[in-house]
Amino acid sequence: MKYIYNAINIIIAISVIVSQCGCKNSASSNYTNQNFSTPSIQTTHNSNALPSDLQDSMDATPNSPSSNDDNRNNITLSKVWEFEGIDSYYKPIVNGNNVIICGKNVLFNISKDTGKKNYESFLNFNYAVDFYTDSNIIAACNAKGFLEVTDVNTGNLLWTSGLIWKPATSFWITSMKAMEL
Amino acid sequence: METGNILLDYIYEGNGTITSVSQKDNTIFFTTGTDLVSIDKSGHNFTIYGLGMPVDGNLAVNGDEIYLTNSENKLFKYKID
Repeated sequence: MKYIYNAINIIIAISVIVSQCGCKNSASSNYTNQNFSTPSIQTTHNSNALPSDLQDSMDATPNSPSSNDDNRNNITLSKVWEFEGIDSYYKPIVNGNNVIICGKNVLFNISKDTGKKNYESFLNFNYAVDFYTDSNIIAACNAKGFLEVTDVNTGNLLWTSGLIWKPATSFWITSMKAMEL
Repeated sequence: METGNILLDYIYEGNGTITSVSQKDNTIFFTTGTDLVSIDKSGHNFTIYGLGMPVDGNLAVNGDEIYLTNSENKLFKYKID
């Protein structure tokens, strides 16, 4: 009887070991089934992942110009404006029916449908690092902490501020606007 | 945007480098110095728009209109067909 009991225990122990090995294998299989040769487009929910970490694991780009699913579509040129002083560093700003284009020290507000220039407004400093706009104002700042706020509809200067304890940034302008509100 | 997690990491392997990005609905537009390109927010439907000029400036998208600046003091308005 004792031998039978020991034999049953041994069989149970072997079964447990085999089943545990099976679990480990299946879990490992789940991870190794990830396709690490996936394209450059990946989604991740790993908040610790850095862009460079992701890029290191990507080697194909099905949506690059060399891939088969590329398209080449035409778009229609509608208007071209040329203004001395604008700078391609700054984004065009669409504001209602107008578009605002910026230079280092100048703003142009033009009708986006007719092309008519509504105003040009010169800043009181020579090199804006960023512009912020909403439906009422355009704010510009320079690297020395000078802030200038202009009426977006007229181009008239509304107010300025020059006592900033650190170089102004777009974040700072946004903060200032929030404080104003 | 809420969590800071990276939702899309896209590598452009064409000519030039990505110089400006804008977005409209489910489409992301970017300029590469030589082309205007769009992809959807999942990184698919890669599309090149042949503009016939260097696209070395900045970009804004408004509805079916695209505004582009370039280094020659010009602003271009395009309509997407």
